[in-house]
Amino acid sequence: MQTDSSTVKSPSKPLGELSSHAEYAAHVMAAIRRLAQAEDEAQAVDVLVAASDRMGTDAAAFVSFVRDDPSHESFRFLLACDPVWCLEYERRAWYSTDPWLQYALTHSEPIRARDIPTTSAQERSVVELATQYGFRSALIVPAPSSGGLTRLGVLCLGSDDERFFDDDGFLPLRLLARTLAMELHEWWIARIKHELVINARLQEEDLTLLKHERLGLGTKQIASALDMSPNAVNSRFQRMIAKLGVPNRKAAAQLAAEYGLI
Amino acid sequence: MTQGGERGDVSGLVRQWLGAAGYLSIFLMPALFLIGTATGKTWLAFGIIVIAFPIARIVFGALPAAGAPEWHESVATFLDRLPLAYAAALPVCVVSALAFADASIATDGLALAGVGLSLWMTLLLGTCAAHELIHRRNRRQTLVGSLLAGFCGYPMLAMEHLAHHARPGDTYLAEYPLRTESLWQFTARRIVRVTAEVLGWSSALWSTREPKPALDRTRVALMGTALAALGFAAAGGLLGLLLYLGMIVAVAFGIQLITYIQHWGLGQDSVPDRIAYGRGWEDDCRFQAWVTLSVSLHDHHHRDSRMPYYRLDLSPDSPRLPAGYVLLMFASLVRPLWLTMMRPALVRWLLEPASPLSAGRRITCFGLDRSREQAPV
Repeated sequence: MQTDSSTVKSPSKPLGELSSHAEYAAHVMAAIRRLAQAEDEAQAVDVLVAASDRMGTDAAAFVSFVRDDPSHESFRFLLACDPVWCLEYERRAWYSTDPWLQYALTHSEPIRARDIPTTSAQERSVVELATQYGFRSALIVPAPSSGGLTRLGVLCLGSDDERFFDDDGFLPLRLLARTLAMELHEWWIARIKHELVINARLQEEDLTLLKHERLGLGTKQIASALDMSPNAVNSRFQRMIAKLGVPNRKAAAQLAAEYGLI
Repeated sequence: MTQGGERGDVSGLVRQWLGAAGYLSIFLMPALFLIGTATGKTWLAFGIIVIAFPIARIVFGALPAAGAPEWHESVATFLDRLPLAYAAALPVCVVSALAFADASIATDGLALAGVGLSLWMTLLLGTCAAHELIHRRNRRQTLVGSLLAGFCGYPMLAMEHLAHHARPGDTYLAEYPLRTESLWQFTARRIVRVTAEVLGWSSALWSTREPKPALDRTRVALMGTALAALGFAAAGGLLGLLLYLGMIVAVAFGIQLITYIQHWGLGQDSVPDRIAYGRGWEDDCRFQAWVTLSVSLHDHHHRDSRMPYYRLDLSPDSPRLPAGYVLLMFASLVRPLWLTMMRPALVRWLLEPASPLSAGRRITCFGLDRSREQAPV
């Protein structure tokens, strides 16, 4: 799934000049704060466009994905750049050979893209494609998760200027980019959590059962705590695991924890 | 709970276990290969596939109309672990069979051919379990799936197949066959592209400077292939090793053959307006779903690739194969025969996608809706 907003940009000013402006950080933060009100992907893209614009970058993309998702079905994109880039990327299914994504799987520090080594022709092709679509130079900002969540995020900020991320303005930009990345990441997590609840038709009572299961309680203990019969607990779990497509209640609780539902 | 209610629960659970037992048929091929090789009846496994599997579609009938059961937790957990047990059993059966095979097989061409064909079918069906495991959420299980795929002689399965899901309907990169190309053309095009992409010199696989978590699956699969080669060499000497090398070629061909059956006529060259998630041909045969771990429910699998095999069901608007995999495997080798069987089915689906027509319980369905055969595809 991808959402985009193509914009016509004026030539980039040097980052140092932009960030020396007294209101630079405040302007970017004001754009980021609007994310809390974004109700759908289109509104979130508007925020990304505004934040990227105020930071002075020419292109931006945020990718949210689940660690160890070989099917790539968990990938969600927010694009403030030419969407053809993403279409090409998806068509070629370059996820596993994308050095920027691979970096985000194992690191949490923002990094200039050119400092990420590309060690194969396939990886160089991925970077070359990005170069063609506004990421001649880029800043890669991982958004890691903790607490058992398996979803990660990566913010890619791009510029047509090869040296854009090299001057004195890099440090303030790095801080702001990290804030933006984490806010976008949280926004996706909340949205996907909501989608799972709706799609699997989970109710509050289901989540309570899953919380008890996660605590290691057995059927009788859960039944007693929730004033239900053991058979009612079992049949509720059985329906729930079918809806979630998992084999048992332990896997259901694990999945719920990974999605941040409990 | 009343006594009657408890009895109902127990009988329902027993019925579920009986239904789930059908999936144990995945162990049939390794067992038949072991028995056949040990007793000198090397054609046994291949013969059973060719003769008994088509008949089994009549004996065991269609998938339940009510859809996949809402499995009891204990049954679902058992089914979930079944492919893992299979991943352990298959190598043991195959290598033991070769180790205990009668030495006279090596000098008997006919017996040797039987070993080759039986082993080909055994390993090809083994990739069904590997396929199920590589789609799992659990990282260890995906690695077991990759190891199994490697043992079966096709270490590229994980990378190839997951890219296949990510490129629905893509005929340009040979993820789907062109409607106008034969099995042979498709196989050649796909094998070349996949091999270059996964194992070629430009692949990130050969990079050692930085850890590449996504490539672990292929590395593990290659390890599985290397271990299998060693196992075959240890059990059967040079002949065993040559047999395994032959299997690598044969299984790679078999995988493309199955892909051809599953997706012919459903690519962007044929149905560009219907490729939402990658359409696939399905078959309502219960036995085929058991023995392939629901690979035959392919449209649903493409719609939700994380759904475990025991929860898959026929998609209500999927294209339906006019016969089982075994017959279509042979038919796909001869293009005129393939078109005779498949064109009417494709035309019917294009005209009436909402009311798909399954092959029924006949062994063959060459006459399926022939009235539409002349309609333009």
